[in-house]
Amino acid sequence: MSLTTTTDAELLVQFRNPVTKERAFTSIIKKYQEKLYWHVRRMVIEHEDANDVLQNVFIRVWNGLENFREDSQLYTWLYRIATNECLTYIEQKKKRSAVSLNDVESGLSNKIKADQHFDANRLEWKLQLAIQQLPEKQRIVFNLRYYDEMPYEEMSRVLETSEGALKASYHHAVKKIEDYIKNH
Amino acid sequence: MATLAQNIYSVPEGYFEGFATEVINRIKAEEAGLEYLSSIPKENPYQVPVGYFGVLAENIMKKIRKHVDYQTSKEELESISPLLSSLNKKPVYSVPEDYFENFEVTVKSKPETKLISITYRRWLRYAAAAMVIGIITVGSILINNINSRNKINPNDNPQGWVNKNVIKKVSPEVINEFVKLTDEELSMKEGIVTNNKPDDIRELMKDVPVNEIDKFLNETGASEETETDALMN
Repeated sequence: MSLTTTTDAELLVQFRNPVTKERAFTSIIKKYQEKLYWHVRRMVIEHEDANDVLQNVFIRVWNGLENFREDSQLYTWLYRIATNECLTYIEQKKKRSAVSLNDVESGLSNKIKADQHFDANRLEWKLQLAIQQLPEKQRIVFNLRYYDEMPYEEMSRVLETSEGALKASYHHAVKKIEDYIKNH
Repeated sequence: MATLAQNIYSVPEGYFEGFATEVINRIKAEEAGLEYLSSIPKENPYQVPVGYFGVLAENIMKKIRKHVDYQTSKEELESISPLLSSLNKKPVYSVPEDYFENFEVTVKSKPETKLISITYRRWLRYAAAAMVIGIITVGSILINNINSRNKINPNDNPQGWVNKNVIKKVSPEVINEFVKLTDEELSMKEGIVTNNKPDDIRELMKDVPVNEIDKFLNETGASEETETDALMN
């Protein structure tokens, strides 16, 4: 059975069966790893950090999927875990390095600039720098809408925020990013 | 065969004779009812606001457009930022080769652990804390009781109080030194007394009866002649 045809409901049933649990879990990873990876990578920038966070995400999935209430889509639940893990990871980094929020943001900008393919003249790289200027939660909203094209209704379930607030946040973020790109 | 053809069900008497009449009557009744209904005008008694249906479609569309997900993310971005909508969304960050193909999650297999409910654990903590507090409280009460029992009232038992609170806390050497010192002081004081002339003592004791003096001397055990002599004479 191919990954694309196995529904989430079927995967959940297989996961809850001890005989097929590991196979189902592997299927879930294969199905969602890239989406979740990029969601995480856009937040933490470096591949090594993204890998660490992604591992943590799927370990949480392994531990929590048995009790998943299915009151939301599996996809929504996975994104919620990934988002929380990103925020936790960033918070821990702040504490470990004992730096201010501004320094963390400039640290992330420096990581972008340190990328071997970085090109300050390319708009796509300027966009990445602009995104790092946003507060963490607004950054997540922007990434989910802009890159993942997630509907607000679904985003509301991921971030547990009202749809109206998310839309306002996104529109505000777009304006800030546009201003940054135009001025740099 | 004749027995098999026999009907086992019973029918009310005269049923079939009256059946046709009953059906016709029923039909007539229904027709009468329909006739009655058809006599009632079919005008709608409910009122509708003027022009309601003319604007209904537009009102519904307004509501649909207000919904956050009315526009696709693409349409939304085009409307708020043509610049951003024109950018290539292809990831700029590089990923190690075959990263996703080889991605694995190591979930450490733990031995089956007993599931303890969180409420039970919390109860255990509370119980342990209560025990510690109880032990400290009981211990304090006990120690307090022991101390109060061991307390000696200096008015009732001065020697005992001194022994407990003073003597015990002071080394024997210090006590001896103190005794020596007080002896010397006493001796000095006694010296002043013994330096008193017998005449003076006589003067002091002239109004004291002799038998009183004798009694005093016997009680105190004073037997030195000089003293008695001084007193008696």
